[in-house]
Amino acid sequence: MSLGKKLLLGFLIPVLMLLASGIWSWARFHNLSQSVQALLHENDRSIQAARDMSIALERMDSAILLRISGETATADTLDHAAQAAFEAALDVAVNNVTILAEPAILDSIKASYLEFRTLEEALRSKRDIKTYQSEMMPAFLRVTHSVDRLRRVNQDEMYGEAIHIADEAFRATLPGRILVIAAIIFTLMFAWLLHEHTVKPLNKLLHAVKRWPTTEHFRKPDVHSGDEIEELAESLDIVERTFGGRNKK
Amino acid sequence: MRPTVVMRYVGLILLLGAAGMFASAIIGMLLDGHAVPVLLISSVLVACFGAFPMVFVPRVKEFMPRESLAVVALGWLAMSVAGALPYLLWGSPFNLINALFESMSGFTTTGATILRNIEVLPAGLLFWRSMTHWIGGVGIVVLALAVFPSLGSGGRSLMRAEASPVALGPKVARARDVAQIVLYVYVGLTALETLSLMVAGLPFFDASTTAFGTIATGGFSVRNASIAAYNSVAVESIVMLFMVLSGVNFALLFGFLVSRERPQGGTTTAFTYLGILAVSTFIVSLDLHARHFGTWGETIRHGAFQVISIGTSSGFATTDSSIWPGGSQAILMVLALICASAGSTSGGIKVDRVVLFWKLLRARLYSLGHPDSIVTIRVENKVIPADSVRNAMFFVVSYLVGVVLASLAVALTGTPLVESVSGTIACIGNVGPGLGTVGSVGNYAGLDPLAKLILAGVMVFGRLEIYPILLLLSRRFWR
Repeated sequence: MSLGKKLLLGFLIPVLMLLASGIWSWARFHNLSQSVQALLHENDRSIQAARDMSIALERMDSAILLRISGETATADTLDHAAQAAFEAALDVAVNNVTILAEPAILDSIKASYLEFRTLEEALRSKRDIKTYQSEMMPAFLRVTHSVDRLRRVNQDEMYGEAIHIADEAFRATLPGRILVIAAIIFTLMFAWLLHEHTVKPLNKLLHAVKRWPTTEHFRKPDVHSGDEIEELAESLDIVERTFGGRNKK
Repeated sequence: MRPTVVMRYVGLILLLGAAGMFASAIIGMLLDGHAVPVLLISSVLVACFGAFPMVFVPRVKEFMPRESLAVVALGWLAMSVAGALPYLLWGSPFNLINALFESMSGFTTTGATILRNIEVLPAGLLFWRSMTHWIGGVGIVVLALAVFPSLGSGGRSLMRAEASPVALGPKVARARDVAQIVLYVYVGLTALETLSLMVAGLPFFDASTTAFGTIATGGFSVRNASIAAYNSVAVESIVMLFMVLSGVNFALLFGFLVSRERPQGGTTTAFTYLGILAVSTFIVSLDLHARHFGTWGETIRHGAFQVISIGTSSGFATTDSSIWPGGSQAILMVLALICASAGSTSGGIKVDRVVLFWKLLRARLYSLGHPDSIVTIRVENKVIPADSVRNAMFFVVSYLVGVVLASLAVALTGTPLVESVSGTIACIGNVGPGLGTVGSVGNYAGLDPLAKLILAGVMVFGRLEIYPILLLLSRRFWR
């Protein structure tokens, strides 16, 4: 192989390794950023919806207490707004199912909410704190418990995904690092081979050429590089054999 | 010593690894496609490192003895490091030390693993894991000799540096012919076992990877429960038969099946090896019956499997032998020290040396009674040179000293004594499972990272029969 091709290969391979390292890391980080976006978008929407439902439920609870204390008009306004907010948040959660356990939890939210609302309307005429504590409060706690479960499931999923992403991040950077280390080792190997099989033969040839005028004889150095240096040594040997004899004559 | 020449031939060996990774990528692509980029990148990277020195360093006709040893020892180390690349690029559960451990365990056919859950890994990576067994089992130099004609006449000294000194080769002149004979037997046995396992009901992936592990006497399985996962007497019987065959000197197998020429001393070794397995199975079955298994059938089934698995340095499992009685465990540990015949793919001290040791002991006892007599050691009526006997005995002593020192080093990392000693015996003998948490259904995941590194080093020591690696560490060797 010619010296030019050897040098080209020696420089090209580490460059390709570094390029591969860059492409690999870019591809992995691109995937990673998409995963992070999906994670934030999907799980966070469900967590937000659960929070909105909890706030709406608290307001419905306040409306019941206002009704007991006789402030019916304010209670009605608050209750209507809270119901609308709850249903809107529930709608968001229903349209954003990403976890296997979510449909069952959403069904339980719907069932317990329906039970809570039916009970609230049935007992609206009974304005006493004892009925509230014995009947309304347990139904209210069942809905809030279901909503809490929805939030927790999404938070757990988010945490699990975050751990997975940490592992993915490690995997995204590791190949890049390995390829960079490989490129460095390759460059060192190239430098060593260049020194042993190009620079050393060149020095041998140079030494032989320098001695030529003093000894009046070109002694061909032991060069087996298989490239232009070996060709040059052979050419000089031919020159010596062709013209060296004539000069002696 | 010509370091660049060593580099050229280590590079040639690395090309085999690159080819194996490429083949695994294709299998991965056909099955689940998950680890394909990882295997392809590793393959290209290893191929670059393997091929590039050839651009600069010309072929040589003959190696100096030191160069042969350096090519073999560095070839094994380079191949183990290169083999860790796909694991490292894959990531969890592999970190640098775990990947190196798994790769060295694969190439040295030890079969010890750091994986707690094997079945979660993609098919391509599992295939590569089993392929490291297959490449390492036959010997990377033997494989390189059979595949690359360019190794030429220097191949004999390379092969001598890699093979066990007590191994008896077939009567052919050229190293390449020897390598090809070994490869024919190796490929033939692998193909036969794969087909037999498929007939017994295993899918191609399971059958081929199990065959790789069996013929190489490695022990990597693609199932968490090893061979027990198939719960099939037919599968266990096939694996047992091929484990026994893989523990016989390949030259003897080739002579028996094809050329009708048998290497001198091979028959004695083979009968001794089979006798040791039969007697051990008998004693273990007696020890286990009524204590662990209800029927004689079950006792012999599991007893024979574990004895053959450990006695051939394979390491597959059908039951948890770490809960067996002390007597049976002691027999398994003795088998892990001896293993099978030289010239096979197994590790350990080897039956050939045990035969020599036994003959030497008898000769010594005889000469004590007859002080003026001249006693020679003979195997199949052939006098064994005193030099060969001395070398064999020196190896046995070095091996046992190695076990003691490595066990001590592993124990100093905080590993319990049972795991330290049995793990070291299992790793230096390229067996795989030890006792306790590193037993037949356990793994090496829980060990200290330093202990894993020591054991990984010990595997290569055992595979190359100690001296090549010791020479690498000597400063005089490099002058």
